[in-house]
Amino acid sequence: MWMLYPFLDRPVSLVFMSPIGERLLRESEGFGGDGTWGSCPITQHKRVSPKQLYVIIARVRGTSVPVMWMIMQGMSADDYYLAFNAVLSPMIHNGWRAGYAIFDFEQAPVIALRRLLPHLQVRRLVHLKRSLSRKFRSFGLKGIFSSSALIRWWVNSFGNTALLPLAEVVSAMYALRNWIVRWLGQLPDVSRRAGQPSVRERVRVKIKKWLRYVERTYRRLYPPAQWNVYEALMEGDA
Amino acid sequence: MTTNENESYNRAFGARVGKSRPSLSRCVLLLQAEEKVHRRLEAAGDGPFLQPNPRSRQVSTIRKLREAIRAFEEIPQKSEEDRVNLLLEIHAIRQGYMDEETEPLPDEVEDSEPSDGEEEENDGLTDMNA
Repeated sequence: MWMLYPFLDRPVSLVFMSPIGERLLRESEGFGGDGTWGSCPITQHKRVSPKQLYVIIARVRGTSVPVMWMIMQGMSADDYYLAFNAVLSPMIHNGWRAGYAIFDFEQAPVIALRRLLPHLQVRRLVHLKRSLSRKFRSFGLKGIFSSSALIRWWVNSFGNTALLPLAEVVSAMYALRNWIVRWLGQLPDVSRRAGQPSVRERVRVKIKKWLRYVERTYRRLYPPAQWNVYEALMEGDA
Repeated sequence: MTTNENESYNRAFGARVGKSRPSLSRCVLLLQAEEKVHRRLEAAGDGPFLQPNPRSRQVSTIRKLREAIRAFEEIPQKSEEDRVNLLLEIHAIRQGYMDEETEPLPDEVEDSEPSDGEEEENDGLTDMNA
């Protein structure tokens, strides 16, 4: 079933879900969504060229199966809403109630889905470690991230706190914070040039900035309860 | 895909698919893959239709992660060192899996970034002089 939506005043979205996909989604205990920009067909006309391929993956009978594909030009909440609405509205009208949904930290698809499914339980996990490490490197810490296996462990461990019991997540983050303070104490406290801050001080300032980003993004904007997967890990099918 | 569906796609997107991007023939493969899923679904009845391989690396990684976390939970008074040691173990378990799976480097994958939150008061996590 191909569904073409050339909205008059909106970017075009092409949505595909087969009857098999619909059946699997209907049977699923939950589903997830993620977009890719690198694996999307392009055209010679930039004005109508799609921006991403967005895939919905259903968790059904202990297995994850892709069930719905959306080739999208726009990436706003309205664009997602129009695409989701086209396929999911008839299912919702016929009594389908989604269990839970897992997404990355992109806001637009979740805002759109909540318009259709106000009580949807949303979890965020996808690409947590990747987001953390990318941000870390963007704070001028690319060199130290590449050269130090300990620093890579330390950065990735913030993402790995998602696997711990929820009550342990914040304590683990504090343990990691204290660990880096001790590690920084081992760096040479000397400046390359007179009057300039030392290597230790420059790294400390950048890491502190990154920790502030972690604090406000993954503890306040997205609290650990939204991205913790302890229960899924310990009680899952695998 | 039928001729009509193909034409609809062409009208919408101009129909010139980039060399390095998936072509429309991939869409046909997609439909064929779905057909296989359908057949397995029909054959399985109400039971699981795609069983995870119990000997797969992913399953054994999950088993090791569970064992490490259960051992941590059994520690009565957990210290900071216990927490750091658990995170070291989790990293080693997941890294072993990644090495075997040869995951692409983050730079090689385009992806959406999380939205930044508003600036919040520092509650101590960033107080590195404490």
